[in-house]
Order: sequence, then structure tokens, then C-alpha cells
Amino acid sequence: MNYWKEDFLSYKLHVISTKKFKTTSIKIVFSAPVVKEEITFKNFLADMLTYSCKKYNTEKKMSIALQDLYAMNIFPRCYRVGKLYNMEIGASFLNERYTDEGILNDAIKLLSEVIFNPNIENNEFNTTAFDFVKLNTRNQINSIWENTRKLSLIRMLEYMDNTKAFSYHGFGYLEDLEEITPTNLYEYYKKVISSSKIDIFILGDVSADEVKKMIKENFKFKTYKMKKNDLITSHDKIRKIPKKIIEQARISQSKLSIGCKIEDMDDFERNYVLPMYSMILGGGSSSKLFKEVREKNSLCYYISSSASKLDNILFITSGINFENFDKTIKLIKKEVKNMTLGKFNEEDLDVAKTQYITMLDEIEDSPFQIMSSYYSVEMLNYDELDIRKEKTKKVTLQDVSKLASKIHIDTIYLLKGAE
Amino acid sequence: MKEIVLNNLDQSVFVENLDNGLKVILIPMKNKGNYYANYTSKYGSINLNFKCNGKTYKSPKGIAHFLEHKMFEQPDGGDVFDYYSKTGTECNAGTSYKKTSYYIYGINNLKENLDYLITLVNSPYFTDENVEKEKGIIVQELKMYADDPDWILSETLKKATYKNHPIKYDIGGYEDTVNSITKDDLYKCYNEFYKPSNMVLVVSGNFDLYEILDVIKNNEALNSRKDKSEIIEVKEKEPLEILKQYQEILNPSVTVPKININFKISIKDCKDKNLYMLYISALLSILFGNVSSFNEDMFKKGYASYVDCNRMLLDDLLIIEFYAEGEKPKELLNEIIKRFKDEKITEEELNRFKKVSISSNVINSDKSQNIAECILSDYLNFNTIYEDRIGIIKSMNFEEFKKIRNELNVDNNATVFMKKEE
Repeated sequence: MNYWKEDFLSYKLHVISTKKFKTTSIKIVFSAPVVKEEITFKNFLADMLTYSCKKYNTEKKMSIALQDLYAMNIFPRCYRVGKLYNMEIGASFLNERYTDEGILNDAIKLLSEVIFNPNIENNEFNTTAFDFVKLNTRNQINSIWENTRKLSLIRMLEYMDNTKAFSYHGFGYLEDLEEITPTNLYEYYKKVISSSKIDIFILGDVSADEVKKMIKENFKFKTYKMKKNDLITSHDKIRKIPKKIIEQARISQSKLSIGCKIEDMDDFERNYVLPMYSMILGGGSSSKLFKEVREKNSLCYYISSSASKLDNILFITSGINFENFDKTIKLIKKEVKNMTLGKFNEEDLDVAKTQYITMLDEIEDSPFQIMSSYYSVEMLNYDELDIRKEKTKKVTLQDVSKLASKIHIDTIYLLKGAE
Repeated sequence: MKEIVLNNLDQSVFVENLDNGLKVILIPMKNKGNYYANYTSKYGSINLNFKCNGKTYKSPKGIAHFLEHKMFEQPDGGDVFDYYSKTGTECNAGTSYKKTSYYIYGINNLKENLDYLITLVNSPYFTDENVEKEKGIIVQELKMYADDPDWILSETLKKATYKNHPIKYDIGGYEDTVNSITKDDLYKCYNEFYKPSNMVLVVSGNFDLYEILDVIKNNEALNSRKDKSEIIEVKEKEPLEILKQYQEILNPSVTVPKININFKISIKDCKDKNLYMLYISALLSILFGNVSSFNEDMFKKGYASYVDCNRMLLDDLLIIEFYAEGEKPKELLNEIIKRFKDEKITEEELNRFKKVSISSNVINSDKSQNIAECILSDYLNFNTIYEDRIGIIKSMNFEEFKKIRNELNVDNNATVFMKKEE
């Protein structure tokens, strides 16, 4: 696999040449500091841009154009990364070997239509498309109420500290949705196009030269250079006694979410020790939480922990019966305490390392994961894949114990179901 | 071992039928670091009643799923997940209506991991104690689903659609049926449906063909399974009639009203079900997919903002299911029926569908898990591994398409409408 990168000032182009896949994949990332009130705007915009464009100005015409390119797929994705909120336009299509000649050029041209020629009339987005996407965005925001597991997690983070980026979620907010109009969304589009940090990734059986030429011909970005932003959230205070909240919902299974705040870490702790800690504590069926709460005590079907590196947070989620709330909390607290007491061994750490390194190995079999890993190097200062595998192996039991003493249960939230 | 060269996909499939009846399908792939192995029994939630020692045995609902959970139990107390974690290999299982699958997915140690999987699935170990313990976990799992409005919607629609067919029951069963399961029930069902002759093993990705075939053939637990007797299921006939044509239900969690519709269609005289289903897929894509303007039309009329559809074969029935978010179920139903009957379809549209379908096949052939599941699905549904799926797609013709469309009877349907409970 060959990796080539060039900075064109208003955007960076990354080309990964490989014959490994039967498809060519593209990822265009627009990155900017997260602003809570803009999350809904950005989600909406991403959906609008990929729904239809000026050249193919209905969903039907757009779908036909994509199908004609052998079922090319264009999809939007918006997500938070630390203190950034990204809008991503992804695309994938078959290699020329299985299609007609010139598909790479056609695909890039179509993408440029999507990005640079949106469905605009009289300085506002086409109102039919706008209304359709607005309704779907509303439904998407409301779907949070049907995903009680996710809802519990979001509520917990809001109670933990609603001034921090980690309490913002990507579903979107109804109050912000009501503010969006076809006109101000067009203004927002112009702002995003001209002021985001833009990275373009292409992966497939392509040469850097041919791609560079096609991108330069079709993508005319005029972006101001964005200054490098701080991504990491630090905590103002860590509660000595965890805050406990119970809220009622009309569900049968209660959803528990526990948030732990982590004191400031150095890069090695954040990128290498923290994932090991989380895997040992609650990273799957060999973990302490799974064994104790599910296997030994039959208190739940799912329980896991997850670390959010850039937010300095670790959270634990589980689905339980309300009557087992106190017992479950007690067991979880005990396991977290056991981590600080070093009650895990070399075998636990080896299993965690093997799992993590296998996860890194698996990246090589997925075009989009490969592109994401290069993005992480570019944007998040991650090490390259090979170095990540090496450094993971170097984590010691002592490293994990030391980190454990920096992790404190801060907020306990229960979305309470039937008794 | 037989080699089947998949036309136009740069890929071969190797098939071997073992003496004990197990079907082995091996798909070695170039350019892959990972592997995927899937060990499936043709035993799902709908296989409830069968002849056992001359009598009809009616198994408790949800037992196939319970059995899946218990397969991971080992006499020495060893933990399956622990074993696979050591090499960073993912292991999981799933029960659906027609099958139970155990699969592993990873990068290292395929030989040992596959051997372990085969031994696991061929060594049942059920005790009164370990059966009792599992009940708590499974009941929690059922409760997790029971909070999901989509699950409730689907269950209600199934009950309105099917009189006798066991597909109407939840795959996991119900709290009372799960609590009634004993170890004897589990052994009975295991012995019947987990015979090697009722199972198939697929391996795809990065591996050496003959090395892996050896591992499979030399597995002791598998070799000890000798029973090849016929499975005699006892099935009740399913009438064509729908039970309840329309109903409304309320749910506290739902925010957007939901509509679920089933069309129940007889395809008794259909000779080539695989090809027929391709034509049906084409019809649904052209009439209701993104290339139609159906979604936008329904939105403009205020009937629904999101519509999705699917199709399923169930013995001699074709079931077409619609799911929509919207407020006008009866109007939506009328529009759907109108499209089925009156909407103009063109040869150009069929040709576009063929292009898309061919692309899907190529894209799926690029991923270990996807290609294994496609081949497995063909084998389970049609008892065939198609060497020229792309050729079959290309052979679809407009005359046949129109004929199938004209003969499709959509008058037999059931609707469930779910609104928010205030």
C-alpha cells in the first residue's frame, strides 16, 4: 500500500494506492470546532447535500445517476471528535475492471456536483427537498426516545457536565431544528465550505498523479487556513461522592449508565494505557464486569465499558431489572476499585493487548477504516499503525494500575423501567 | 472435493460432503488478512414440532435460541469467549427463524479456532443447574427487546398475518416458555436438529484449503456423530387468509407513528424460486425504491415520510413487508396496491436494476463475511450454490418480468398502525 499526501492549502489530498479491493473509496472530511447550536445545522446540511444537487435535483434523478455508475454509493456522516464536529461525505464505487472505462473521473465529477453545486434556487435550498429532509431530521432527533440505552448514556453525560463537548450528542436538537430555514442553511453551507479544515482521502487501484489531476480539475475549494484546535477536554472538578440520578421511563428494562472522569493523562496513557484499562474492566466477554455482573450473578444481558480518549471519560453501561440496581452498583464499584488495587494479572493484560492489536490488524481489510486511521494521524496526532501495535505491546501492569488511580466514578444515572 | 468457479467474480468455491452428512463449503480468498467461519444448523425458531420415538413432540417456544446460548457451556467450566479472546478472535452466535449460526471472525490461529468451534458445537453439555442459570440472562435479553417499539410492532403484525405458522412467535420465546425449558428438552432438540446431516460449515478468507479440510475431517467430536436419521417435522398447514386486516395500537415510547404492512401471496406453482425472487426484488426496487418517486410522493401527500420494503420466502408463500413512518396507514396501503397494479414499468428500469444487482454481487465477493453469507443463504434457501449468479441476473427478461407483475395478487394484506400513547 502506497500513501501519498499533498497540501493544497485550502485542502489536503491523501491518496492510498492498493490493488487489494474490488472497489474505490473516497472520504471528504469537513472539520470545525464543535458548537452545540450548529450540530443540527451540520447534520441537516450533510443530508441536504447528498439528497439531491442542482444537476440531479430530485431524489429519483440522483438515485438514477448513482445506479448508472454501477450502484455508486454516496453517504453523509456527521460525528464529534473531541472538541471538533465533522461533516463527512463518503463514496464508494466498483473498479473499472468490473464497469465501464472512465468511472473514476465520472465518480469524482458527481461528487463535485454534490459538494459545489447544491440544489439552490434564488439563494436558498430547494424547498421541496428542504421540507423532506427537515421531516426526516425531526424523526431522527426524536428516535432518541426509542433508543433507551443511548438515551440513558446521553442523559448521564448531560448531568455529568453539560458545559462540556462530551455532553453534546449527534442526534441533533429540536429547538435548533426549528431555527433552520432554506436561506440560513445556504448561508451555513457557504460558511462550512469556506472555513472548515478539509481533508480528501482516496483509496483504491489508482495512481496519485491521475487522482491529483482529477481532483484539481473538479474541486475548487477556497478555504481559509484553520488554526490547529485543542481537541481534549479537561475536567473542572471531579466529584468525591458520585452524583446519583434516577429518571422514570415507560420501559421494562432499566438502563444504567455510569460516567467516570479521568485526570489529565500524557499521550502514552491516553492512547495506549487507557484502552487496556477499559478492555480489562469491561471490554467484552473476558472482562471483569462481564464475568462478575453477567456470568456470576446473572444480573444483565449486556454490560461493557468504553473509553473516550479525547474527553477524558470512561463510561459503563448495562441493562438491568430495577430491583437489582443497588446490587449492580455495588458490584461495579467493587470492580473499579479492584482495578486501582491491581487485581488483574499478566494474562488479563495479554488478552487485552491481543484483542486491541487484532482490532488494529483488521483495519487493513476495510478501505474506510484504513482512511480513518490516516485521518487520525493527520488530525489527532495518532502514531502510525505499526507504531501503535508496538507501543501497545509495551504497556505494563504498573502502567494500568497507575492510570486506574486517575479514574473516578463521577455520575451514576438510571433510566428506570418497571419495578 | 468439488470446485465451483464463480463466473466473473475472480473467485472459486470448494464443496465437500462428509460421510456423516455435513456439508463443507470452503472459500479461500486472495488479498485478505482475515477469515470467517460459520457453522450453521438448519434449525430455527420455526422448527417446533417433530416426531420423536413415534410420538409428536411439541418443543417450548424459544428453545432453539436457548440451545444456542447453552452450546457455549463446557463440562470443564472453560469459557468459550475467554478461549477466543486470547487470539483476539470474535466469536458469536445467532438464532433466526430458519437457522442457528455459530461464527468466528479473526486474523490469527484459524486451525485451532476452527477445531475448537467444531468440537464445541458437537459436544452438548446441559445440566439442571446450568439450564436454570441461563434463564435469568435470557429473560433479561427478552426484556431488552420488549422495550423496542419496532419489536412490538413486528410481533403484532405477525400475529395478524399467520394463523398456525410458528414464525408468528418471538424467536427468543416468552418468559413463561423459557422458564419451562428443561435439560431433557434441550437434548431432545439437539439430537434431532444438530445432526451433521442437518448442518453446514462455511470457511472464507485467508487460509490454506487442504490444511483446513484436514482440520475439519480429523475433528474427533464431529467424527463421533453417527446419527443420519431423517428429521420428520410436524407442520400445520398455513391458510392463505390473513387473520386481522387492520388494527391500531398505542405505545408510550414511540414519537413518530409507525405503519407495518404484510402482503401474503401464494407461490405454490413457482418452479424456480431463486429467479422469481430476483424478479420480485426488481419490482420492489422499481416501484418503491429510491429510483421511483414513491417516497417523495407519499411525503407530498402527507401519508408517510419514510417507506421501506422487504420480501421473504416462507414455504409456498411470498411475504412482502412494508415499514413506514407516517400518519395515514389506509391511504398508504391504497397507494401501494395502486402501484403494484397500475404503475408503468419499463425495460430500461429493469436493465438498471440488473446493473445494480451485478454490482452488489461483485462488492459482496470482496468481503470474507459477505461472500460466505451469500453462498450460505443460497444453499439454505435453494439447496444450490450458483456458479453464475451474474449470468442468471443477465438472463432476466422484460416479458417474464411483466408476466410476474401481472400475476401478483396483493389483495391479501394486514396492516398495523402504532401511535403514541398520551
